[in-house]
Amino acid sequence: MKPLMRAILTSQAFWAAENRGALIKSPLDLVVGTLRTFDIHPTDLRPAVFAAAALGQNPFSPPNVKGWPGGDAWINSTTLLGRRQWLDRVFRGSDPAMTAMPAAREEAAERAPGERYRRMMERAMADYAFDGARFIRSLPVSSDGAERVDRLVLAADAVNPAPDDADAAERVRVLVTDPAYQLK
Amino acid sequence: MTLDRRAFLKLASLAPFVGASGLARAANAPQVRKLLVLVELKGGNDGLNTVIPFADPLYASLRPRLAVARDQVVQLTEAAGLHPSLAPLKPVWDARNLAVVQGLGYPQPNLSHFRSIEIWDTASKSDEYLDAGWLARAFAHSPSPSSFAADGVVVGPNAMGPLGGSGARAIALTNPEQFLRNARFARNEGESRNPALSHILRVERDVMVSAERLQARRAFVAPFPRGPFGNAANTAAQLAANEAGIAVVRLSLGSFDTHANQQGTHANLLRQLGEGLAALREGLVEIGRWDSTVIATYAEFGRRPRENQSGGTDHGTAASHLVMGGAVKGGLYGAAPALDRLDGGGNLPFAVDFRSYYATFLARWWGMDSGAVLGSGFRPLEFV
Repeated sequence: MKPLMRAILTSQAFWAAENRGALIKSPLDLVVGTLRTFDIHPTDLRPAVFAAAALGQNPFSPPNVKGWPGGDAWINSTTLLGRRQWLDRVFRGSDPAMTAMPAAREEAAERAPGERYRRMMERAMADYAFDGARFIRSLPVSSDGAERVDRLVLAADAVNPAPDDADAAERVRVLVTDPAYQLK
Repeated sequence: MTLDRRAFLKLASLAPFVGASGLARAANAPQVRKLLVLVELKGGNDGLNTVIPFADPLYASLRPRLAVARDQVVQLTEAAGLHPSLAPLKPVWDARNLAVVQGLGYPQPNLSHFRSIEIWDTASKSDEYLDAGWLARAFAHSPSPSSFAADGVVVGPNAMGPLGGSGARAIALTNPEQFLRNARFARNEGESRNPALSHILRVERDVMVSAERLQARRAFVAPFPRGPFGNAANTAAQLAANEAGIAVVRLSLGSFDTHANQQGTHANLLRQLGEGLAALREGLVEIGRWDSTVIATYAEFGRRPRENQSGGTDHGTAASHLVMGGAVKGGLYGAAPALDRLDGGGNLPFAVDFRSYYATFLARWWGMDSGAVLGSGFRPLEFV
């Protein structure tokens, strides 16, 4: 094991700049990675599973024993837009727990199944939200803040660099919309 | 969205063989349609610090830390003024082309971002779920001229919002920077030394193939501000300059979800908004489209009048919004925020239903039957 690890870690390919950020995130990389990177802890994971499935990766259900084709095949016009829209939702803002869905008003039995499902998802999605203020507090105070945020969010240089006058949370919101956020 | 794009391509491919129904459709369609630029202030903008009731003593007392000092306010009238970051819009007010619609909201307001923006996007009742956006329904009812490249263009990597669902020919310009660059570098986009990134950029370009008839070729004299919203405003001006028409352009800015330390963030966002819209106005004047364009803001909600413990504001209800254009009748509409009549949750009552706001664009800007789209009972306002 040791010689193998040494060989890998000292190889040129392992450290080569052109191999950084050269892979496309799978839907689970994107969905779970976003939740973990930005410290988002939803109570109900169903929306995460459904999102990954809608983006082409239904967990534990690969198309065949070989698994998902992956790579470039993750991204087509539908899934790229789907990814952007999911991110758009997570980074819109956060609902404080108190103002989340008024559950008491629901009379589930009277609702059609489609509507019940929609309401369930809506309630479950409520805590899929980036908390900008908490994110800023979690950053160490330093002079290279913007660069640090860029390194945290992106595996490759941004295609459209974020403006320098944005605060850290705003910077994150810009960077996650960058094509480079789809890379790992 | 691809479904829409697919539907659109199908429609476009049928164009040479327009059948009887197609002709009927074309006969209903107007030959021209004026432009509406919607600007979504994502996350819920603090209306009270955007259009400031500086003369109301309750304003300062509800906001010991966040109130904008009276001498900083860009005064519009004896009682209302703009946040200092919006100073670039003062000339528009002075030209009587800026309308401020105060107190936009709806009954039984929902304070969740996601539900409330859904209500605004679909123009539904608070407890009603509709599948299509209000503009998608409007264009299904009254399609734009067949010469138009699309009914609407959504600028930026966002959900389709009011153009979502079937009914509209909508284009997603997910990467406006790419759209703007294509003008200069003749479609070499999609080349990067990173093959994975190249693939993503190529797909992004393909998404925009449905926008092929739209080009960003216009060299504007007026500069646009740097940054994402400046690019979005530039894109809107480029779209307005296109020969192939567009009825709606939707831009967005945010997040305005300022729960903590609002002051700097909000000032910065409003500065982007003010500078971006002022530049857009100059661009539209330059190409002679200022009189045939209306620009209007909206958001899922305003924010609570009383500031919170973290130097921010929490989700609220009614808020002021801005409408500008050469054909806009400037002035204050709706009613000033009733800070003395907050509800049990500390929120403002609404003065104007947002569906009346929408009805104004449908009925008075486009001459559509707004009742068929929004239901009856929403009287248009008179700002256009």
